[in-house]
Amino acid sequence: MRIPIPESWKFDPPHTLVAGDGPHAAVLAQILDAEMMDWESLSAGPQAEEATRYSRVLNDLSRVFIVGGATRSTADFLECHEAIWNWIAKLAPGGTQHDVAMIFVLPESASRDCGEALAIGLGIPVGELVKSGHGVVRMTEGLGAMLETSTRVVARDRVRYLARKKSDNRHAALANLRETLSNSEPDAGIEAARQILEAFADHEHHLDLFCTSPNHRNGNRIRTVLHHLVTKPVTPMEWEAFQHEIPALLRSLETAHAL
Amino acid sequence: MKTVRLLIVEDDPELQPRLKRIYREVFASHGYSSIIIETACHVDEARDLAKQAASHPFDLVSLDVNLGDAELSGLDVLATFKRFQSAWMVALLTGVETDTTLDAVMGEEKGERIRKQLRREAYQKFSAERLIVVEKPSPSLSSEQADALLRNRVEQIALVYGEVGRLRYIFRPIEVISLERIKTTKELKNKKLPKKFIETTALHWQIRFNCGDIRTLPDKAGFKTLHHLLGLDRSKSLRPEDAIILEPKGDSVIAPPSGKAGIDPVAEYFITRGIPWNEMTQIAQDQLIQVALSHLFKRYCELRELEDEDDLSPDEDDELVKIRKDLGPLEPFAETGYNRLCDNDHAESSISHSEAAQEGMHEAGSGYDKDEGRKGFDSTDAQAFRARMKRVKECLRENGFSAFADHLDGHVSSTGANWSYNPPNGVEWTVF
Repeated sequence: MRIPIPESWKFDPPHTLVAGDGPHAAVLAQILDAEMMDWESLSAGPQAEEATRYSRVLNDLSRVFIVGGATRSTADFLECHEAIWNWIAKLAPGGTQHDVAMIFVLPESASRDCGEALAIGLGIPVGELVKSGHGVVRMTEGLGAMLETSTRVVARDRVRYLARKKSDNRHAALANLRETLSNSEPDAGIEAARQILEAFADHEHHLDLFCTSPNHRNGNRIRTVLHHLVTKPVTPMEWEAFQHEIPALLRSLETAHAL
Repeated sequence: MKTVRLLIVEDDPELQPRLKRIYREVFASHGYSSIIIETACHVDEARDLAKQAASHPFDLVSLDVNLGDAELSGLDVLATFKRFQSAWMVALLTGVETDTTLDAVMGEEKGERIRKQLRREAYQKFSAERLIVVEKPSPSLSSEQADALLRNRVEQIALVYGEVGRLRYIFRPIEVISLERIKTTKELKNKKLPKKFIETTALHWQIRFNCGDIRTLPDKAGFKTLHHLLGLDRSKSLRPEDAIILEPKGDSVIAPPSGKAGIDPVAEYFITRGIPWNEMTQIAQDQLIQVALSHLFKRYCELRELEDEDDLSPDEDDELVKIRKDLGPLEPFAETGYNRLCDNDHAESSISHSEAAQEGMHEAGSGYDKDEGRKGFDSTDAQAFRARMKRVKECLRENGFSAFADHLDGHVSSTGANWSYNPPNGVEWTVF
């Protein structure tokens, strides 16, 4: 169910948004005098006020902190990131061209390569995260570091980010598989699966980032399916089953094609 | 003084200064005395400028398609100009048109398909009537030949710009998130600021043509009309803080006292609706009666006739009750008033036919079959303007701005070919 646009946003449009729940997010929102919204509400998307019309209340939004607790996986962070863009696209006059800085605030328990995994999920080289509008910081680093990171991040719109995704080989391979599943014969699908395995060579666990929840279980399943496609003969019945199963396992991949 | 503000988006460091010089020379030869030229050489730089120019659009953008960016092209920049409505006209410079290697490598048919595809995409991303696609000189040409070709193309652009610009009187983006009204000075002093918001869609373009018609896209709530009528700074967009309406200080003009003894019922009718009747000239009063009451009187008479014949439907009955309530003290005069207005329509009145037509007293094509847009004939744009004004006023009334809507009713009028807003002394619109 979609979420009504908070009334307070209409009177006092937010400059900073803290996406998350829990004490850390609440304190951060209070310190920054920011609006706060939990991940579930963000995922639900904004409710249109009249047919497809939305109040353009996010015109001033320039910074978003995505704060996740210990139970949140990297894939969850990526999903929240997508959900926030959905809100911005609908509620900012600039739509997908609205400039905003996104700062991921990772929990203490996040693995060491979580930043790298986020960059892979976003389709941006780790070194270019900051100039492409993204920052990564850990809760343990303290408020000073968090604010310092947020000021370094260059606010960017979604157009550049989607164009990056489009040229990223992992995203391109996954998008190609989706396309072949919908309108091609098994041979094309097998080739697409081979491309994906090549793109994720040695880092197949990163496929979890592109899977629907539960990410790891679905990631395991998609790895099995891809290996099956590449290494074993595929019967027409199996192909038909994969055509239905794979899209359900993968998160929707919005790329510049969708603009 | 003719002015033009240009943006040249070109990544070639050799070509950019040449283009700048040629644009300056050509536009100067076309009589532009003030030519402001800005430049950008990267996609991101151009897109940032496009976003910043939302409230002060460029008159003309010269945009290269291939900007040396692996991910985005000039077409993406074009989309940003469209989204933020920050360019009046765009000249898209493309090398694809003259790239003979394209035909050699891909074949003539495929090369042509790519060119068509480029044009199609460009026209999808920007308004076709304000976009011109021109070819860049081929790299194989000598610098003299290339300069001559560029000059020729810029001449072509300047001519089109002049033609398209002729239609433009005002063209600016208006961003209206909400309008905030501060009711009275007293409330201001008490710091009780009632916040009443009218939400609208984000951006509108307002175009006022030389003929006096106003057109705005997208045409939804129509607040651009207000923007124009309030006479706000043309270079500024209408933001909530720009649209704070201060009602007159001291003696109230918008909300004068009602029910004074001995007052004329017609005057009372208008005064209670916030129209400064006593300050208006006789002609303006007649015009106001004609505009505001003719329809009401006519409908009242029709319904009364049906009522006399006991032939009123329940809906009509409700309508009559509503009209009676609306007319109030004027009801006894409705029939005579209607007859008088009918007579005025047929006889020579103090209002000329052209003025009458502009004021909307005649329906389009109702016997005044003179030149369109001139005498006695409502152009479609004039009709659209009135319809839009009506919607604006309805919206204002629905949102508690009825005094303001009535005020517009009384003070928006046509002056020959143009629409004008003439507020009485003491009414103040502030722009911060």
